[in-house]
Amino acid sequence: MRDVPLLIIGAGPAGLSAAYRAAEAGCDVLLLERAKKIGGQLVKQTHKFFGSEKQFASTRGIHIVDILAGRTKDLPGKVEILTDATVLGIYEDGVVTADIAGTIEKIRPQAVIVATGAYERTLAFPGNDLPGVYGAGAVQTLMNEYGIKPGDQVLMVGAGNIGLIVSYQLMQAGVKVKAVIDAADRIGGYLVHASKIRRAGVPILVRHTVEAALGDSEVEQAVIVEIDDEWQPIKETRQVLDVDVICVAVGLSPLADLLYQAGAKSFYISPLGGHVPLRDQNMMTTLENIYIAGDVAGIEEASSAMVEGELAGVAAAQKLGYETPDTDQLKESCLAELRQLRAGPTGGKIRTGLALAGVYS
Amino acid sequence: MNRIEHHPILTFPEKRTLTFYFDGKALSGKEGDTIASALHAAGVRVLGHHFKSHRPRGFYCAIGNCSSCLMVVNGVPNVRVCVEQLEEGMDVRSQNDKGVLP
Amino acid sequence: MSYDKFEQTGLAGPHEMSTCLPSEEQRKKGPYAVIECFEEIPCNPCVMSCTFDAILPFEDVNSLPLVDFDKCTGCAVCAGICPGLAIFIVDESKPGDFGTLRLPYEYWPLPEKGQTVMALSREGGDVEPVEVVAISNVKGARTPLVTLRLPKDKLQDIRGFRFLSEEEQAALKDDTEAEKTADIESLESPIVCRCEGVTLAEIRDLIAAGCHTVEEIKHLSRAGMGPCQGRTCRQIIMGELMRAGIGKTEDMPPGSFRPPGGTVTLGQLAEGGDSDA
Repeated sequence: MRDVPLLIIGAGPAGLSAAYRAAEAGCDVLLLERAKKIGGQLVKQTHKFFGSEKQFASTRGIHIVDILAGRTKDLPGKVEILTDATVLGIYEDGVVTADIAGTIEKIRPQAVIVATGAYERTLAFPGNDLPGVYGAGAVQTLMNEYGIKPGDQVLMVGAGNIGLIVSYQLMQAGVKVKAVIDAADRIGGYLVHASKIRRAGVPILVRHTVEAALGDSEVEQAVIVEIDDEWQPIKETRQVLDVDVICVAVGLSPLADLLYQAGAKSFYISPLGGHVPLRDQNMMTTLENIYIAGDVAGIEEASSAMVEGELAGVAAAQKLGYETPDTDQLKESCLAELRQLRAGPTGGKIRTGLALAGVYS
Repeated sequence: MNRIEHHPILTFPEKRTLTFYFDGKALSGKEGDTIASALHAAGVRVLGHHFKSHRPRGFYCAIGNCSSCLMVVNGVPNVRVCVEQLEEGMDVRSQNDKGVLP
Repeated sequence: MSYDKFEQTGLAGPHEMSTCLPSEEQRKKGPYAVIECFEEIPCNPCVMSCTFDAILPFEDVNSLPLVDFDKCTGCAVCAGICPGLAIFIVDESKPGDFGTLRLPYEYWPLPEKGQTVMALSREGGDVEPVEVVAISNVKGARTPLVTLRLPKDKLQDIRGFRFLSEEEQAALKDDTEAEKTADIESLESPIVCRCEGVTLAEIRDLIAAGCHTVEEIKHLSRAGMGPCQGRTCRQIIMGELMRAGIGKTEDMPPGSFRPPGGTVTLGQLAEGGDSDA
């Protein structure tokens, strides 16, 4: 049994930011990461980030990992980071079990920050399980982590930020993107991304959906179709595209399994991506001393995940008695930054979702 | 060749070549690959068949969430090859059933 | 049906462009930045990077950038920094029929100075072959900028380029795919639960047979009981329940969740941990 003051689950942008702020206040932290390296999804983000200076705007995601990890060193509290460490359960007596490099271990933390991120949603269409139908994150992993092309010709399903960014990254890797389609009647992602891929000659078809993936043992073709106001296919508009990859970028849902198991109260909040654990202003769930930060608290950008992580880190440390004269001010400035990031028209969905979760009035 | 040779942002340093076996056939991958990435680079996208529907299976999420990529590795079934590091000499086999304990 | 609004196409039109260009007088004085950023998103590196205060101060991080063309020198610092690759530097101040366009370019390879490339419209359509006159590149950090020599009357229409290659031209011709049709209706029902191989038809049958919760469907079909524990299928099943009029996803219980939150072998469990819990 390991006794630790603060356990953080997930070393992505939220978890690393939480570790930094908690250790800065003097709290020792154990940070567990399921993958073999830290950084979460940042490790595959080759594009320059939006946001402001505080969230490293204009720095590429792949470089932000090093900055975040660097900040967790030489602080009053010690941050121990273990990779290849999957948390298996949070039990009612406060004990957490984890598979650490193949060995099951028990941990007894005084507080936990769950920063487990999200999982990719998928679509039901015939042939959706054929090899070659890949999640957008999988395509990014293959290209940007392992340097492998997912295929030669790609249909991108989804014109949100992920669909647009991954389309661009595919072209940077020398892969042809045949088309980007989206069932909605407008492009969901940032329009600067859309303009960028249009300049490269890739069509974006709104009000289009994928009807089927065709192929004997792998994807060989995709069938796409325009849909009407009732979201029904207009058969005359059916097109068959020769593609070997259908990349599914239809959104993310919070990866909150551990919190449901533990009994945290949660609601299905569509604008936040699915079932979201409720939390207070300090990012604490309905369970005492269990906090959340990042996509597990509602799907948003990495910039807000970092700020939420900082907020949860400061708040959890404070709850355990680790405070500095700046603590309250720091929490205020995190809240102010979050309000800023969510203030514009593109933050409308998040504001609606958080209002439903009782975070914003 | 499915490996990216040139990239405007990233550099992929030359890595040691590892030999492994897919259903008995020798293939090569690179140090740092997962089993799934090495297979994909070698042109193998069908990793097995579903135990019930017998439909072909590939990976889907590539980060250990969806369990679509289960294979038999060194005799052990149900290994998620998208997150399992490739090692020299590994024996990787398609899994077409629920798996039998070694 | 045509969808021609900016938010449907991603293509800036006359309406958008009317908000980001300088006056006739200002155009004659030297190069200037055209910032094609027409949507309020939380992003401010351009305004922070400008040392001439030529981008008007933001009210908040979501404000749109507006250029003070009397102050803008066309130095292009903002163009290399913009995460949206939305800034172009236009110079039409020199006499004659030609000017230059500097544009951000993040593909491999970069062109060479003096090379002839095909200039592209905002839609990526071919306009005409043009000459690359300069390249500035700091790999990894800022975005490389490529300068094209263009006829003055096309400076606001060209926003990209591609390499000229016979292969690519041949491939482009092949691209006009023949009319193809597919018999969608006869295909196998899509898979909802990959782990247990449960199809959409099976889920719909269960709903028709009276299953009204994720949990019931799970028990009867095993959807959600495989190694991924419902990460792939749960959302689709909830969507199907909603479609069948059983309720809103907001009100639906997502089904039960139990440890372990990952795959472990019995051997690991038997060996691991300690007994003092």
